[in-house]
Amino acid sequence: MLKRLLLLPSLAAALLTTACTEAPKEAVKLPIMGERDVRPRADGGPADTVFATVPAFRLTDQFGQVLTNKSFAGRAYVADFFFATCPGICPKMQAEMLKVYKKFGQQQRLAFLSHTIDPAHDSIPVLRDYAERLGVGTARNWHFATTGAHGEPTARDTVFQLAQAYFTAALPDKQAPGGFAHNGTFALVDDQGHVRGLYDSLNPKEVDRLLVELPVLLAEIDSRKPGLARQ
Amino acid sequence: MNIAPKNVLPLALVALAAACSSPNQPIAEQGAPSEASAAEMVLMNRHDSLMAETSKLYEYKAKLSGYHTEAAAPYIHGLLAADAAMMDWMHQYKAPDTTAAPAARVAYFRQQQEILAGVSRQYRATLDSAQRFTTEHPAAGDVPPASK
Repeated sequence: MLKRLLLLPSLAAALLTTACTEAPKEAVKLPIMGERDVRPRADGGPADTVFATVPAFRLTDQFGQVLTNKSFAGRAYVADFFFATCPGICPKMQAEMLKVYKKFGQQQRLAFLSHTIDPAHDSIPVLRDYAERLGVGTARNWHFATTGAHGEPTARDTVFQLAQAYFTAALPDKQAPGGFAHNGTFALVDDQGHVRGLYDSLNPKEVDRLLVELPVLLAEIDSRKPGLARQ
Repeated sequence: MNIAPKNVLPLALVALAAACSSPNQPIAEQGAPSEASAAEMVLMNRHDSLMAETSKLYEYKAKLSGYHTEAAAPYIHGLLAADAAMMDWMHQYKAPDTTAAPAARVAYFRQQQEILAGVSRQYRATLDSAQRFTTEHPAAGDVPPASK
């Protein structure tokens, strides 16, 4: 009995460590968010369920690298929307993202994607400088990306449509509020382009939830062969 | 102290919750904000709420662009002008250093507050106009089907 009692603190410590940093052993999965279509099969077999995905995108990051949905094939990513001159919530939001990055940045199955909503101002050098000021200047898996690397006149329209699409991919239309582009939400997207979680970066409990749920998604990705994200 | 094994799980869960949550001290515990900090907070809150409205500007712009009619052009122009005013404010805004004289900081934030209030009125007016136009001229997809 004494031995069992002596084991209790280490058991509790192990549980703590596992719950905060590692995927649970059982196959717990995060829900796939958003609308789904049930499509009957021509052969009369069980109907296929098709889940909403983030739309096709084409971005350029701080290194001048072109990013599409395919760039994230086989990897999950955490997405947010910011701009370099934002004096409001962006600094706090990016500080929270940095916290997540410091904990999970070494994971090969994970990337970070911060979209600027000020493409006219946030050129590639500005984005590179922003990453450097954040202390992640050499990070290759945290992309600070723009829809307007070549002065596209509709770059701002495109990024706002993309932001809205992340939300509508995550929530049924009737529930989708506006303002996703600047409300401090992080979206967790899986290796197949499904939104698996939305987190309010301004709420520490929500960021903690992301820290707990991320390993669950990474374990799911590890359990299957790399999928192909939608292009 | 004796701990029965059946009590271990609840204890562990309490410890887990404590360990997984991060400390988030309210401002009050760190001392009351100064007049300058309070003025800055008010300004930032207005900025953040206006930025959230920017998505609506672009939703209306996309909707109005689909009309393909000259009548929608002034409304699109109004929305873009409001957006430009906001971005201009953002790019010119330079928060004074916290080591600056408190009175100077307060004066700056109040001056910026007035400018931002003007941008806010511009947002409201253009959004209201765009909403009225789209309500009075529903796009084809918005027209409810005629009852038989």
